[in-house]
Amino acid sequence: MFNLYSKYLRRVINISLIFSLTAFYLLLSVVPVAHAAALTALSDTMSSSKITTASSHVLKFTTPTGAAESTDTIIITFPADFDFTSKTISTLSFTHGASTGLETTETFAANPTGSVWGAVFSGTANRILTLTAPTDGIGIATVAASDKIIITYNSTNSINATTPATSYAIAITGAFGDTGTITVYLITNDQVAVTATVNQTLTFAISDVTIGFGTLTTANRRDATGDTNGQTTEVEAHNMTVSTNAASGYILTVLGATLNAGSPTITALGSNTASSAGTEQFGLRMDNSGGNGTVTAPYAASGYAYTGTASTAAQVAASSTSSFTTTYSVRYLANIAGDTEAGSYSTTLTYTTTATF
Amino acid sequence: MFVYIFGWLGTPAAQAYFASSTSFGVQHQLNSIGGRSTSTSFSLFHAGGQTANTQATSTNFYGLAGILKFLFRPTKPSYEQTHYHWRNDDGSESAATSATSGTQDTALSSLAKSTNIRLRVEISNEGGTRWVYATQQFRLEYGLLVSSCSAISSWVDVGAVAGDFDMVNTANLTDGNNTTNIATSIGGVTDSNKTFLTSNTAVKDTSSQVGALSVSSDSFVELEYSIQALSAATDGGIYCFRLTNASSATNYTYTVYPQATIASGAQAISFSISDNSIGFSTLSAAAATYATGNLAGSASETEAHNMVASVTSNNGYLLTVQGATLTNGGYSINAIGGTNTASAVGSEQFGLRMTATGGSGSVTAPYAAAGFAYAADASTASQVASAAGTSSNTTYSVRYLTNIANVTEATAYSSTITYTITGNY
Repeated sequence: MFNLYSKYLRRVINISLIFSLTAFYLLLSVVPVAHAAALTALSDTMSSSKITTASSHVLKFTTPTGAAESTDTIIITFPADFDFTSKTISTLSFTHGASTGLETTETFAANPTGSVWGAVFSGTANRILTLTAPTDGIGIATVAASDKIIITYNSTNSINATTPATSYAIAITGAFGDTGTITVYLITNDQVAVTATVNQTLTFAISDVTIGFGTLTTANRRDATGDTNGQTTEVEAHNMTVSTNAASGYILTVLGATLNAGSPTITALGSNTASSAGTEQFGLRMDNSGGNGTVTAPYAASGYAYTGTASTAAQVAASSTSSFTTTYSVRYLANIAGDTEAGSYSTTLTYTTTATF
Repeated sequence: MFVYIFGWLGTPAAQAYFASSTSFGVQHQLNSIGGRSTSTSFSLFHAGGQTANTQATSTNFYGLAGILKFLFRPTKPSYEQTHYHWRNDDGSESAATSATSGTQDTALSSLAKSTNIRLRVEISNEGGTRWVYATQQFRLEYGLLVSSCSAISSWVDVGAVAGDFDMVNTANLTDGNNTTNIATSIGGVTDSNKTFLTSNTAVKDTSSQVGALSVSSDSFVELEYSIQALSAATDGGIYCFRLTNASSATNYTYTVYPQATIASGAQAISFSISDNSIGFSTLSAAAATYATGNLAGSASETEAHNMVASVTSNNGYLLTVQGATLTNGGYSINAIGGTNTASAVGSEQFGLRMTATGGSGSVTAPYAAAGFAYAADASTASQVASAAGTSSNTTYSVRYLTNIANVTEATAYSSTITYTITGNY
């Protein structure tokens, strides 16, 4: 019986001690307790892996513990040779959140306040960045356990180390208790230069180089035809096709005198003018189809014109850009007056295409 | 929980005190009366008393004479995980050495994966045997520490298939043998109770659960498990361990949790580009052109350069490309975009495709198929390849295609493409 009581008494004493220890623990529980854990999902996405080159760093990691105490710090330490001299905290960003890490953006100042994280560079070439939690431990939002954290250095004053084909370990430590390492690799040149050439092209063709009006009369208009007989209604005498890959396109000009029989000539139309039977007129008009080329005034309207001379070219069409094939349909008109000298009239018109590359 | 102790100075009544609840039992003393009664929720003990008003003590007990009334928890068992010790798998149960320099209750700081380690855990019944007392099948479980071991909500049987840990059969142990009460210096633990349960079958290397054991209120047992961290274990992760009764933690108290930190995987990453200058030479609207390392271009698909990547990391790497399409000032050759597309002569196309050999890296769509694609631009990177875990060298053969139209502006085109590898740890 005494043994039983003795056992129970020991239990009573033990329970009392447990009470006391529990109370003591509760009193101490206001003191924050840090728990160390390994960071997970670590990475550093760099804009360049090239040595001695400015590169941004997007440091990502997940903190099992969080950083919710005012005493918490997160310390990023780059290895030797990385150079952050003159880098300022304005070139940093700090976001965190449960899902993507982008949910909350914290702000930095040299010293932490109730809502702002402290951010200070230190060490050789500013390789150490110490982030200190806000004085309320919260900031914009608490860095909770399992939060994803993204700390970004932009490329300003962020110069890669100098040794190629080398791994460099970036350490993440701090009073928040979690630790981790991110290894990056630098090479001499992370770029591939690609070159190519597109040669210049310009194509130009005239479908028929001999056309004719036949016999001109004062009573009716005459329109040139490819069979040289002419007719009294508008018709395509020939066409021209032009294409080019010239970046600034091309111009198409015509050069040549009006119809003449030596000294006698048939007056050329200086502006776009409708056919007028019984009046001396020599002119042409054009339509365009396909590509980017267009007929130039005064040859684009329904009337006719001819401003070229034996010595002066007149622009009849153009494209301001490279162009697939444009087909120009060319129509020629001739009218004579009652006093137009009899004779055999002719002219040779020269079309020229000039591309601007 | 309340405890009352007081002396009864008068002559006790036949029924001095009686109380019951769902959470405690009552013992009351009546002279020369013994016995007990129980229910599903409490136990009532009667015991005879002695003459009142005296007290005696010794180093072993307290003797209180008088009428005592104790109000206390029922004497159900309390299996306390009181001590642990990591041991090297370098000898028999009695000969192996401590993995923590002979100090018990010390976490293992760097546990290599796929390496045998032995864990000795002590369970002591700090309660009783009067209530819900039954045999126990001590099972070893683990959980990844986040904030504290006690906060772990998802415990996993070490003996479960796959996972982060597994039991490992070792020639140094025979599953089902008895553990002995070895010295702390070689991996034993401090005795937490009066009696070491010698017939315990608690040496385990092929399964994580010990056969049924009765651990009485004055007893403790030491159980030793041979385990391994598997490749899936988190590098640098801290794992906690506990014993349960075949997954039930009812009546278990964890004074200590064995802890082990997985060795941080030695991170390593490498990357190279075989040629930093490639060219198509003269493009044609009449035929496809493929870039070559000698800048002359080719009318048939060919490797322009290759890239070799490797990583030691459970989470592998990403390989991205960034840069504008072929451009000269305001003129450019259309990039194919994010869809794998066959060569189409006469239409502007700039794209690339890749093949992968070696390692576990693979080309990412849309760059993996027979056609070509180019989804990056000067400010946006596009993933071209990746590895999901540790990978030896993967060689990526990169092929570039360009087609032009008749109207593609005549000029010299160029682009600078940046390839970046990012290790994921």
